[in-house]
Amino acid sequence: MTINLKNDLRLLPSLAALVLWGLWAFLPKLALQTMPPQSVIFYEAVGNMLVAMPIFFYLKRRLIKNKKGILLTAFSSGISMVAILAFYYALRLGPVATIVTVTAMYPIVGLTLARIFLKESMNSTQLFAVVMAMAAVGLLAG
Amino acid sequence: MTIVPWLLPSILSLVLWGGSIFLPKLAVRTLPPLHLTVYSAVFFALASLIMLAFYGFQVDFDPRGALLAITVGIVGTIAQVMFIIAIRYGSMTYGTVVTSLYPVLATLLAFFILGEKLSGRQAAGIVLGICSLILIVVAGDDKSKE
Repeated sequence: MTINLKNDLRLLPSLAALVLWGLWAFLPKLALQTMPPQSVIFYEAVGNMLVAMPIFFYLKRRLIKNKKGILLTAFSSGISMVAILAFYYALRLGPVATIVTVTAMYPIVGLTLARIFLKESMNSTQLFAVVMAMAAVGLLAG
Repeated sequence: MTIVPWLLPSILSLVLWGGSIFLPKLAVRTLPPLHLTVYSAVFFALASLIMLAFYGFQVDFDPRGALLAITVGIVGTIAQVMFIIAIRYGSMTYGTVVTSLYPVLATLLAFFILGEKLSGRQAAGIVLGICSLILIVVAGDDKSKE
């Protein structure tokens, strides 16, 4: 086994996202103990803006205006909002571990789209790892 | 056959997320990650206002709940930045699969903080999830092979 530092460093953003999304998936369960899903989403949007605004000023209040990119982002954000609302309603009704793991199977949808539209391919080891990851999600949901 | 009440909203969320996770990969071709993050936050805020209109603009306030929800927004946005960077400089397959293992952490937090019981099957899932993550790392990024 050889260690490729360039590839390993490339993993860091993914690992950071993994940890942060773990927190992101768990914390709403606590917030939903005292507030309904629509209120939690509203405050979540406030939290989003608290990060986005410093970035906006860091970019010197100049955003690239690409119509296609903006439309895709708007569409994606709208879908995400509905997905999160459904996720919060589910979280109110059941256990965190089961619901988070069931909804985490979304890469199956994403990977299928990536293979169809982006022609991304996987080698056999990676395909095996994907199957293992999906099996893990299946076991966690049980 | 009884369908548990949380299943339908979970499946709806699963399908919608599957679609929404794909779109940033296309958007990031024309917008740098930080620009994309700002646009996402703005559009998410607009979408949440449209959603609130359906609830009569009624927003509950509980200090602890609000603080937790704001934290959710903060960690979620930073996670999004990390994910966008990951898929911009790596492959979507690689970034998506690694980050898809976040239920392992959420399950552990639910176990330790909420006292949700972990079955033997779920424990096996955590071990398998960690093994698959290590395997993905060892296999390397497939970008160079594309």
